[in-house]
Amino acid sequence: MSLRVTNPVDARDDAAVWHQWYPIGTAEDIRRHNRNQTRLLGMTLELTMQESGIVVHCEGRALPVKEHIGYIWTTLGEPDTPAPPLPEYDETDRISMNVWSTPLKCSGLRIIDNVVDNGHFPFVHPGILGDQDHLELDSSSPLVDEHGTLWSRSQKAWLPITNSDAEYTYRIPSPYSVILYIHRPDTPDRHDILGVFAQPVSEESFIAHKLLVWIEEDWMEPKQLRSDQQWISVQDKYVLERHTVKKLPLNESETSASADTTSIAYRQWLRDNDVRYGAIR
Amino acid sequence: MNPSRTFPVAIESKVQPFSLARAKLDGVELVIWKGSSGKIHVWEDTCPHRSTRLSAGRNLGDQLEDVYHGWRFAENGTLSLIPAARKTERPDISVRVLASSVSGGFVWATLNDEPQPDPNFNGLPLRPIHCKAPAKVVNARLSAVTALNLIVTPWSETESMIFGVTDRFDKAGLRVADRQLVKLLRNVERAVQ
Repeated sequence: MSLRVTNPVDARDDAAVWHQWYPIGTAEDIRRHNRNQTRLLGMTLELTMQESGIVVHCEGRALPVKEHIGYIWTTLGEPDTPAPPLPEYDETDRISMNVWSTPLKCSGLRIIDNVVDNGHFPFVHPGILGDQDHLELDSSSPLVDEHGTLWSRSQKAWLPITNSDAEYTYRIPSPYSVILYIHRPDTPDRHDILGVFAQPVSEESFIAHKLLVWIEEDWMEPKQLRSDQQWISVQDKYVLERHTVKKLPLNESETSASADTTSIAYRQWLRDNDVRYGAIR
Repeated sequence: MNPSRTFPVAIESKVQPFSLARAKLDGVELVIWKGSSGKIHVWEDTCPHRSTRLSAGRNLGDQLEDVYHGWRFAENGTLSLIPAARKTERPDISVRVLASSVSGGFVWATLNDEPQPDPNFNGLPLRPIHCKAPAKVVNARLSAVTALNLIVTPWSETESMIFGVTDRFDKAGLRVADRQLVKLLRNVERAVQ
């Protein structure tokens, strides 16, 4: 019989997760909703608005706060590395926006595993990111760079609207974040970019912050871009909340296939970094 | 009395072709479906690939398709197709298939090897009643409704599903039995609160 009960992990005991920066929303959202609380890694964060900006406290302790790529970031630990750099965010010919910040009921590691997986496109996003006539996927060749970031470059998947393969590169700088580069045939050295940053609320729930950083074209309507991306995220939310195992297994309990090379590499990378919060070992 | 711990998990007539039903048994989530062969299958409701609910997928008749990546499973539970990897070797895996049988208008299942349905449990099936109390607690109070033939399926540690039959094949009789069951449910749930 499969074992469904795992011991809870105290985030403090998980250095790879604790000592990281996490976004807690955009300054605009926090102000507009007068938000005075949020949760991170099982802790309650108190938010107060001051003239200098947003101040974050946890159990009376003032936490470091940064504004970066449109989000307010904080940390409970002492990170060695900054929040993921994304210089493209400030390029003047781009549309940059937070697509949404929405709660989901599963481990935040599950959404990273979902983003790097092209195999679900024809089933979860039919007619948008894939279709039933183009199901076969090549394996990818993920690698870890000298900074410890996991990359999976030039993964191809059929894109119905262009009637051709699209190419995606995935960058995983920290356990709960992924940056997706969509290749553009016209500008080989510049990409359209999506970031998915999970704010782990608990081991089995998180807030997904989705960032869009696209090179602006004449036809683009920011409102339309946002609603298209939200629609794709709603489809992902549907499957992500239908996992019978909410945490991400890093053991052999889930069977993978040749099309899952990036997912397998991500899980191996999490094991190598000794990640346990939100995972099953 | 029930050494194999075989319990009703669904009313047979409610398990229709090309659709999927859900149930639980001893905390195990179940998907119940009728295949093209006419056989009713009781499986654990989880895809071995990425642990999504199979009941969120599709009953294609001869196979069940998972919602997330379209992995398909044949009526015997074995993996029959990985759409993204048709050309490479398929892992030799299966969903968890529960031992089950159909008897007296009910689908019966057990987490053990051999299903042993209660041969005396037949008649007109009543509407199954979900109860937020463990089967042990419900059973202890069943003596209050001796007029009904009931079996309490242990759904999970905190829930049960009360299946019943009546030998009164008229509408009035069904209504009376149904009302008795609901009354029982209220009493039990009040007691455990």
